[in-house]
Amino acid sequence: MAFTFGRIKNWSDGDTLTAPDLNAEFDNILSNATPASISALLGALATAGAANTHAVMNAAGTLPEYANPYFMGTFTRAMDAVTADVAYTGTGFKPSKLILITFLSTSFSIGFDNGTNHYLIYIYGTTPTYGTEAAQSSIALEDGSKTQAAIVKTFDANGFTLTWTRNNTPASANATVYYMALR
Amino acid sequence: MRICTDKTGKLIEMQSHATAGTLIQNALNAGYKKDDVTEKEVTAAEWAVVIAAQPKPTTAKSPIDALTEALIAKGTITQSDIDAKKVKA
Repeated sequence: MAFTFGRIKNWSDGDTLTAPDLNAEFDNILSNATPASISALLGALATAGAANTHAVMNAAGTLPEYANPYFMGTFTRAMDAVTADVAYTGTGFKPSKLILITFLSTSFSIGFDNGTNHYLIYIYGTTPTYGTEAAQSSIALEDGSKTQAAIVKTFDANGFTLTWTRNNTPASANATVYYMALR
Repeated sequence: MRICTDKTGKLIEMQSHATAGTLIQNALNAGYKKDDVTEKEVTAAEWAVVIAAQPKPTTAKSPIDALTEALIAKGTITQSDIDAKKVKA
Protein backbone atom coordinates (compact mmCIF):
# COMPACT_ATOMS: atom_id res chain seq x y z
CA MET A 1 0.00 0.00 0.00
CA ALA A 2 1.33 3.42 -0.91
CA PHE A 3 0.51 6.70 -2.53
CA THR A 4 0.28 6.57 -6.28
CA PHE A 5 2.86 9.30 -6.82
CA GLY A 6 6.61 9.01 -6.37
CA ARG A 7 9.52 11.11 -5.26
CA ILE A 8 10.97 13.69 -7.62
CA LYS A 9 14.49 12.40 -7.41
CA ASN A 10 16.08 9.18 -6.19
CA TRP A 11 18.78 10.39 -3.83
CA SER A 12 22.18 8.72 -3.55
CA ASP A 13 25.10 8.93 -1.16
CA GLY A 14 27.10 12.09 -1.79
CA ASP A 15 24.29 14.02 -3.48
CA THR A 16 23.98 17.64 -2.44
CA LEU A 17 20.57 18.57 -1.18
CA THR A 18 19.74 22.16 -1.95
CA ALA A 19 16.92 24.27 -0.66
CA PRO A 20 15.07 24.10 -4.00
CA ASP A 21 15.44 20.29 -3.99
CA LEU A 22 13.98 20.03 -0.51
CA ASN A 23 11.18 22.45 -1.24
CA ALA A 24 10.33 20.59 -4.43
CA GLU A 25 10.04 17.27 -2.57
CA PHE A 26 7.72 18.80 0.04
CA ASP A 27 5.70 20.58 -2.63
CA ASN A 28 5.34 17.26 -4.43
CA ILE A 29 3.86 15.66 -1.33
CA LEU A 30 1.66 18.62 -0.41
CA SER A 31 0.22 19.00 -3.88
CA ASN A 32 -0.29 15.32 -4.67
CA ALA A 33 -1.51 14.00 -1.31
CA THR A 34 -5.08 14.78 -2.26
CA PRO A 35 -8.11 13.51 -0.36
CA ALA A 36 -8.60 10.97 -3.14
CA SER A 37 -5.08 9.60 -2.81
CA ILE A 38 -5.39 9.49 0.98
CA SER A 39 -8.68 7.63 0.64
CA ALA A 40 -6.98 5.14 -1.66
CA LEU A 41 -4.28 4.62 0.95
CA LEU A 42 -6.86 4.16 3.73
CA GLY A 43 -8.71 1.73 1.50
CA ALA A 44 -5.57 -0.33 1.11
CA LEU A 45 -5.09 -0.27 4.89
CA ALA A 46 -8.69 -1.34 5.38
CA THR A 47 -8.16 -4.52 3.41
CA ALA A 48 -5.12 -5.47 5.47
CA GLY A 49 -7.18 -6.79 8.40
CA ALA A 50 -9.96 -9.30 8.92
CA ALA A 51 -13.53 -8.10 9.32
CA ASN A 52 -14.31 -6.26 12.56
CA THR A 53 -10.74 -6.30 13.80
CA HIS A 54 -9.22 -3.20 15.38
CA ALA A 55 -6.06 -1.29 14.58
CA VAL A 56 -3.64 -1.71 17.47
CA MET A 57 0.08 -1.45 17.92
CA ASN A 58 1.92 -4.76 17.82
CA ALA A 59 3.34 -6.33 20.98
CA ALA A 60 6.73 -4.74 20.36
CA GLY A 61 5.15 -1.32 19.95
CA THR A 62 6.88 -0.84 16.61
CA LEU A 63 4.13 -1.25 14.01
CA PRO A 64 0.37 -1.07 13.79
CA GLU A 65 -1.55 -4.26 13.11
CA TYR A 66 -5.14 -5.41 12.94
CA ALA A 67 -6.36 -7.71 15.69
CA ASN A 68 -9.28 -8.49 17.94
CA PRO A 69 -8.29 -6.76 21.19
CA TYR A 70 -10.88 -8.55 23.33
CA PHE A 71 -10.96 -12.11 24.61
CA MET A 72 -13.52 -13.80 26.82
CA GLY A 73 -13.20 -17.04 28.71
CA THR A 74 -14.04 -18.84 31.90
CA PHE A 75 -12.33 -20.76 34.67
CA THR A 76 -13.03 -22.22 38.07
CA ARG A 77 -11.43 -21.62 41.45
CA ALA A 78 -11.55 -24.30 44.14
CA MET A 79 -12.77 -22.70 47.35
CA ASP A 80 -10.49 -24.86 49.47
CA ALA A 81 -7.39 -24.19 47.34
CA VAL A 82 -4.38 -22.75 49.11
CA THR A 83 -3.22 -19.18 48.59
CA ALA A 84 -1.14 -19.14 45.39
CA ASP A 85 -0.43 -17.43 42.09
CA VAL A 86 -2.42 -18.98 39.24
CA ALA A 87 -1.64 -18.52 35.54
CA TYR A 88 -4.43 -18.26 32.98
CA THR A 89 -3.47 -18.68 29.33
CA GLY A 90 -4.96 -18.62 25.85
CA THR A 91 -5.93 -14.97 25.36
CA GLY A 92 -3.70 -14.71 22.30
CA PHE A 93 -2.31 -11.34 23.38
CA LYS A 94 -0.97 -9.56 26.44
CA PRO A 95 -3.97 -7.99 28.14
CA SER A 96 -3.84 -4.62 29.83
CA LYS A 97 -7.16 -4.79 31.65
CA LEU A 98 -9.46 -7.49 32.94
CA ILE A 99 -13.15 -7.69 33.77
CA LEU A 100 -14.04 -10.55 36.13
CA ILE A 101 -17.47 -11.83 37.08
CA THR A 102 -17.27 -14.37 39.88
CA PHE A 103 -20.09 -16.64 41.03
CA LEU A 104 -20.55 -19.07 43.91
CA SER A 105 -23.97 -20.16 45.11
CA THR A 106 -25.71 -17.00 46.37
CA SER A 107 -22.67 -14.76 46.01
CA PHE A 108 -21.22 -12.97 43.05
CA SER A 109 -18.86 -10.13 42.30
CA ILE A 110 -17.96 -7.91 39.37
CA GLY A 111 -14.39 -6.69 39.26
CA PHE A 112 -12.08 -4.58 37.16
CA ASP A 113 -8.29 -4.77 37.21
CA ASN A 114 -5.51 -3.05 35.28
CA GLY A 115 -2.69 -4.57 37.28
CA THR A 116 -2.42 -1.48 39.46
CA ASN A 117 -5.97 -0.70 40.45
CA HIS A 118 -8.33 -3.43 41.64
CA TYR A 119 -12.02 -2.57 41.86
CA LEU A 120 -14.83 -4.82 42.96
CA ILE A 121 -18.50 -4.82 43.88
CA TYR A 122 -19.95 -7.88 45.54
CA ILE A 123 -23.18 -9.26 46.94
CA TYR A 124 -23.80 -12.36 49.00
CA GLY A 125 -26.47 -14.04 51.08
CA THR A 126 -30.14 -14.78 50.58
CA THR A 127 -30.78 -11.55 52.49
CA PRO A 128 -28.06 -9.80 50.59
CA THR A 129 -25.11 -7.89 51.91
CA TYR A 130 -23.53 -5.55 49.38
CA GLY A 131 -20.08 -4.07 49.35
CA THR A 132 -17.23 -2.56 47.40
CA GLU A 133 -13.49 -3.13 47.48
CA ALA A 134 -10.52 -1.27 46.06
CA ALA A 135 -7.99 -3.98 46.87
CA GLN A 136 -9.48 -7.01 45.08
CA SER A 137 -10.98 -7.67 41.67
CA SER A 138 -12.55 -11.08 42.26
CA ILE A 139 -14.10 -12.62 45.33
CA ALA A 140 -16.15 -15.75 45.96
CA LEU A 141 -17.84 -15.77 49.35
CA GLU A 142 -19.07 -18.73 51.35
CA ASP A 143 -19.89 -16.15 54.01
CA GLY A 144 -18.36 -12.89 55.19
CA SER A 145 -15.15 -14.53 56.36
CA LYS A 146 -14.64 -17.68 54.25
CA THR A 147 -13.60 -16.48 50.84
CA GLN A 148 -11.31 -16.78 47.86
CA ALA A 149 -10.17 -13.39 46.58
CA ALA A 150 -7.85 -12.38 43.76
CA ILE A 151 -6.02 -9.53 42.11
CA VAL A 152 -3.99 -9.39 38.92
CA LYS A 153 -0.34 -10.11 39.63
CA THR A 154 0.91 -9.82 36.05
CA PHE A 155 -0.35 -9.49 32.51
CA ASP A 156 1.50 -12.06 30.42
CA ALA A 157 2.21 -12.55 26.70
CA ASN A 158 -0.68 -15.01 26.30
CA GLY A 159 -2.80 -14.37 29.39
CA PHE A 160 -2.53 -13.19 32.96
CA THR A 161 -1.62 -14.35 36.45
CA LEU A 162 -3.88 -13.86 39.45
CA THR A 163 -2.79 -13.98 43.06
CA TRP A 164 -5.52 -15.89 44.88
CA THR A 165 -5.85 -15.58 48.64
CA ARG A 166 -7.88 -18.02 50.69
CA ASN A 167 -9.41 -16.49 53.78
CA ASN A 168 -10.11 -18.99 56.60
CA THR A 169 -11.30 -22.44 55.50
CA PRO A 170 -14.14 -22.47 52.97
CA ALA A 171 -15.81 -25.83 52.31
CA SER A 172 -14.92 -27.76 49.17
CA ALA A 173 -16.73 -26.22 46.20
CA ASN A 174 -15.86 -24.47 42.95
CA ALA A 175 -16.43 -20.84 42.15
CA THR A 176 -17.00 -19.98 38.49
CA VAL A 177 -15.34 -16.94 36.95
CA TYR A 178 -16.21 -15.38 33.60
CA TYR A 179 -13.68 -12.90 32.31
CA MET A 180 -13.01 -10.50 29.50
CA ALA A 181 -9.42 -9.56 28.78
CA LEU A 182 -8.74 -6.30 26.97
CA ARG A 183 -5.56 -5.74 25.01
CA MET B 1 -11.60 -26.56 27.74
CA ARG B 2 -8.99 -28.14 30.00
CA ILE B 3 -9.41 -29.54 33.48
CA CYS B 4 -7.02 -30.62 36.18
CA THR B 5 -8.08 -33.21 38.74
CA ASP B 6 -6.44 -35.12 41.55
CA LYS B 7 -6.38 -38.90 41.95
CA THR B 8 -9.80 -38.93 43.62
CA GLY B 9 -11.39 -37.02 40.75
CA LYS B 10 -11.60 -33.80 42.74
CA LEU B 11 -11.56 -30.83 40.41
CA ILE B 12 -8.56 -28.59 40.99
CA GLU B 13 -9.16 -26.19 38.14
CA MET B 14 -10.90 -25.68 34.80
CA GLN B 15 -9.87 -23.17 32.13
CA SER B 16 -11.77 -22.63 28.91
CA HIS B 17 -8.84 -21.76 26.63
CA ALA B 18 -5.63 -22.71 28.44
CA THR B 19 -2.60 -23.97 26.61
CA ALA B 20 -1.49 -27.49 27.50
CA GLY B 21 0.48 -27.71 30.73
CA THR B 22 -0.85 -24.49 32.27
CA LEU B 23 -3.12 -26.26 34.76
CA ILE B 24 -0.50 -28.83 35.76
CA GLN B 25 1.96 -26.04 36.51
CA ASN B 26 -0.67 -24.20 38.54
CA ALA B 27 -1.29 -27.38 40.56
CA LEU B 28 2.44 -27.83 41.18
CA ASN B 29 2.67 -24.20 42.29
CA ALA B 30 -0.13 -24.92 44.77
CA GLY B 31 1.81 -27.79 46.31
CA TYR B 32 0.44 -30.82 44.46
CA LYS B 33 2.85 -33.55 43.38
CA LYS B 34 3.13 -34.22 39.66
CA ASP B 35 2.10 -37.86 40.01
CA ASP B 36 -1.04 -36.91 41.91
CA VAL B 37 -2.65 -34.67 39.28
CA THR B 38 -3.94 -35.08 35.74
CA GLU B 39 -4.64 -32.44 33.12
CA LYS B 40 -6.78 -33.19 30.09
CA GLU B 41 -8.94 -31.53 27.47
CA VAL B 42 -12.66 -32.19 27.78
CA THR B 43 -15.74 -31.48 25.72
CA ALA B 44 -18.64 -29.45 27.08
CA ALA B 45 -20.56 -32.70 27.65
CA GLU B 46 -17.65 -34.25 29.55
CA TRP B 47 -17.26 -31.08 31.60
CA ALA B 48 -20.92 -31.23 32.60
CA VAL B 49 -20.35 -34.71 34.02
CA VAL B 50 -17.21 -33.64 35.88
CA ILE B 51 -18.72 -30.55 37.52
CA ALA B 52 -21.91 -32.42 38.44
CA ALA B 53 -19.80 -34.84 40.49
CA GLN B 54 -18.10 -32.07 42.49
CA PRO B 55 -19.22 -30.89 45.95
CA LYS B 56 -21.99 -28.33 45.74
CA PRO B 57 -21.39 -24.93 47.34
CA THR B 58 -23.32 -24.15 50.45
CA THR B 59 -25.66 -21.20 50.29
CA ALA B 60 -23.68 -18.09 51.03
CA LYS B 61 -24.75 -16.51 54.30
CA SER B 62 -24.78 -12.78 54.84
CA PRO B 63 -24.66 -11.35 58.39
CA ILE B 64 -28.43 -10.85 58.24
CA ASP B 65 -28.90 -14.49 57.19
CA ALA B 66 -26.79 -15.64 60.14
CA LEU B 67 -28.65 -13.34 62.56
CA THR B 68 -32.02 -14.52 61.27
CA GLU B 69 -31.03 -18.16 61.71
CA ALA B 70 -29.84 -17.45 65.24
CA LEU B 71 -33.07 -15.69 66.17
CA ILE B 72 -35.17 -18.52 64.74
CA ALA B 73 -33.06 -21.05 66.65
CA LYS B 74 -33.63 -19.11 69.88
CA GLY B 75 -37.38 -18.93 69.19
CA THR B 76 -37.35 -15.14 69.12
CA ILE B 77 -38.93 -15.13 65.66
CA THR B 78 -40.27 -17.75 63.27
CA GLN B 79 -39.79 -18.32 59.58
CA SER B 80 -43.41 -17.23 59.15
CA ASP B 81 -42.50 -13.85 60.69
CA ILE B 82 -39.72 -13.51 58.08
CA ASP B 83 -41.94 -14.60 55.21
CA ALA B 84 -44.63 -12.11 56.24
CA LYS B 85 -42.15 -9.25 55.86
CA LYS B 86 -41.00 -10.25 52.39
CA VAL B 87 -42.13 -8.21 49.46
CA LYS B 88 -44.82 -10.03 47.52
CA ALA B 89 -44.40 -10.15 43.78
